[in-house]
Amino acid sequence: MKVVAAWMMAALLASASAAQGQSATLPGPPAVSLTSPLLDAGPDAASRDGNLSLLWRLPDSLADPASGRRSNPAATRWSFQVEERIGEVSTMIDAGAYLSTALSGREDGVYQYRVRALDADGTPGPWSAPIELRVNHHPLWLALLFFAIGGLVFLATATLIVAGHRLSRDPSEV
Amino acid sequence: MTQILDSAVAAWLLVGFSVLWVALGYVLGRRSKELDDFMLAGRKVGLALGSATAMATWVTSNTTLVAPELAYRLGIWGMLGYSLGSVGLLLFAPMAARIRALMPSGYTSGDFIRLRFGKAAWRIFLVVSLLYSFGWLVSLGAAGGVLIESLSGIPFAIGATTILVICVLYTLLGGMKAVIGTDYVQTIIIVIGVVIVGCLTLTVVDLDHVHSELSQARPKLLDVLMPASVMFLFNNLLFGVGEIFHSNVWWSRAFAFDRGVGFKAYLLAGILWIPIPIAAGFIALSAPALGLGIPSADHVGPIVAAKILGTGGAVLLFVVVFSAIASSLDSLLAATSDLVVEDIYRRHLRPAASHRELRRASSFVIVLLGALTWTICILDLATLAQILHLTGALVASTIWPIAAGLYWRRTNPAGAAGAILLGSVGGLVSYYAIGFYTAALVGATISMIVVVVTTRLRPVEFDWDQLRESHT
Amino acid sequence: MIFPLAVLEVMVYAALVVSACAPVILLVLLYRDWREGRLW
Repeated sequence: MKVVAAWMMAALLASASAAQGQSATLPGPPAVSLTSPLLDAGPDAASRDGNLSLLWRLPDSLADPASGRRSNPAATRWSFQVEERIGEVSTMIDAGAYLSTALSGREDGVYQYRVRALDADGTPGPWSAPIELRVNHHPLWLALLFFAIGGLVFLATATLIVAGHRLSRDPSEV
Repeated sequence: MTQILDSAVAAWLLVGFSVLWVALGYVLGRRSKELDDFMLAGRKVGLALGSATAMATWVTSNTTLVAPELAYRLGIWGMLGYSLGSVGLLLFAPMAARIRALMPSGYTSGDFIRLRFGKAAWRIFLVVSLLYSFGWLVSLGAAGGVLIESLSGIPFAIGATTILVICVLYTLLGGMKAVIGTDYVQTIIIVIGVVIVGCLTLTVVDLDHVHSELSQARPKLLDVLMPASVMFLFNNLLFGVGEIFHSNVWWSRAFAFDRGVGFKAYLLAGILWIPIPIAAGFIALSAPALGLGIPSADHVGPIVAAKILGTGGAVLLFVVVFSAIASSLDSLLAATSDLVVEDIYRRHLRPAASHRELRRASSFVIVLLGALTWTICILDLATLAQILHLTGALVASTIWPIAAGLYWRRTNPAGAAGAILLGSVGGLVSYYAIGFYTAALVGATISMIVVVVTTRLRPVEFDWDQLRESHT
Repeated sequence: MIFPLAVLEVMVYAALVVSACAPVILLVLLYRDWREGRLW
């Protein structure tokens, strides 16, 4: 319980100081740049299983001068919102305070994504440039072929063992 | 990655359970001085301890962390497919009985292959077995480090080192009895933990809502004909069967269980294991319904548990996964040490070694394995998980040689050796040419064909009594 | 065709029930083995 209380105190303090800072010097949620490992796999790459990964980077101006790392500092605690667009349909996805998100279970199609940061009050920053990702599931016939072969091998193995077990059973071998 | 569990709390849990396992292991195993006591718990393990150790060893960090990940990525079939991992345990049940009956003074799976098929097959088999053992050891050590770091912020190196050191320590102190005894406690913890997390999840989340949310936002996860998951189904099953059939972890138990216990223990363990991936995995399906951002699929388990259950959930998860890792790591250290001592040290280097010498060698090898594993883990080779995937082709190729070797009198020995070799190569080719989810399937299929064809064309009679090798 | 809700429900509930039985079964077996001196 203490741990939870401490965390809540820290969160309250953080958002209080962020709100204060905002009116003074902070410019608001930054623009982020969006990418995906799938894009690195080549221009024709598509997800074969409906899983898509998105990664985004905070701008260089927020990088720690010593390590060069861009992280999501607790003091400002941006959260991120992803917009997924397929055809005419647009959905908003809450991506939490992470710098990546894993999506799954998508149907075949072409998906457009863009992401933006939100500050503690929910004020959004600018949208990132969009990226386009494709989902193209394995052909069903291939999947069923593997399923059938695997099923046969499994059945043959099970038969071998069950039959062997029955034949070899005698009182001394329990 | 935001931290879910307070570092201090996690550190206390780590220390507390480490002390518990080491103390338990020491107390349980301090009378294991003789070789057969140290390596095989006196060959008289009963049903309760036997079932528990089989179950605990097969519940790895994979079961508790990868089951949610698979549910998140591959949906319902992903979860169910993972449960098919129990088939390996179930099919091994009759084999365990047969192994003990045929080889009452046997020590390792290597012993069987050597006596049944000769030196060529034996050496090929040892390469496969050792590669797999190392792949598994390293993935367990790394999983420990990653889990502890992602849940609590304690650095990877410290977490991985702690887990490896304590497992080496109590395995060293108490041998197989320490392993089996701690496995029993760990099984109880794991199962109760999974049930609690699962039940509490159901109080917070409505399956109806989960289902409708999935069918809207992630329809493929509910699809009966989701191609990727349909493809993985039997590949996973055969991978698991191959892992269990060949690995000395399961053979050493077959030798350690009392007569009549092996069959029932493996059967019970298999049945009780089936629901674990489902109970652990389904919480991941509620992530979309809860509107949770998931940074990467392999974090979905801890994130959902912590979100739904707060710090308590994170603690439970931590304890469960820690127990799952320890219960597999100790078994693997002990069984791999047995394999190295019996099949390499004794059979290749020191045939005249006394039991006392072998007993000392066992201790040394356990430490050596721990040190090697630690080194590879700390070097943080990113392809660790991939190594285990690669072994799919190798281990699946041993399924038919072993099963046919146990039950058929006429299996062709050269065919068995060739089956492992060709199956492994074919599976590896398929791994790179088509995808990792085909390696075990292709390996098992090629191996099966080679065994059946060579045995048909040139059967070679074998006398089962040749397996009754005396160790003195 | 998607897995109906009923399937998901049966799967999850059955899994939790069987899992909950596991420790009970194991503890009963342990007690029995211990009483009969067949622990190990």
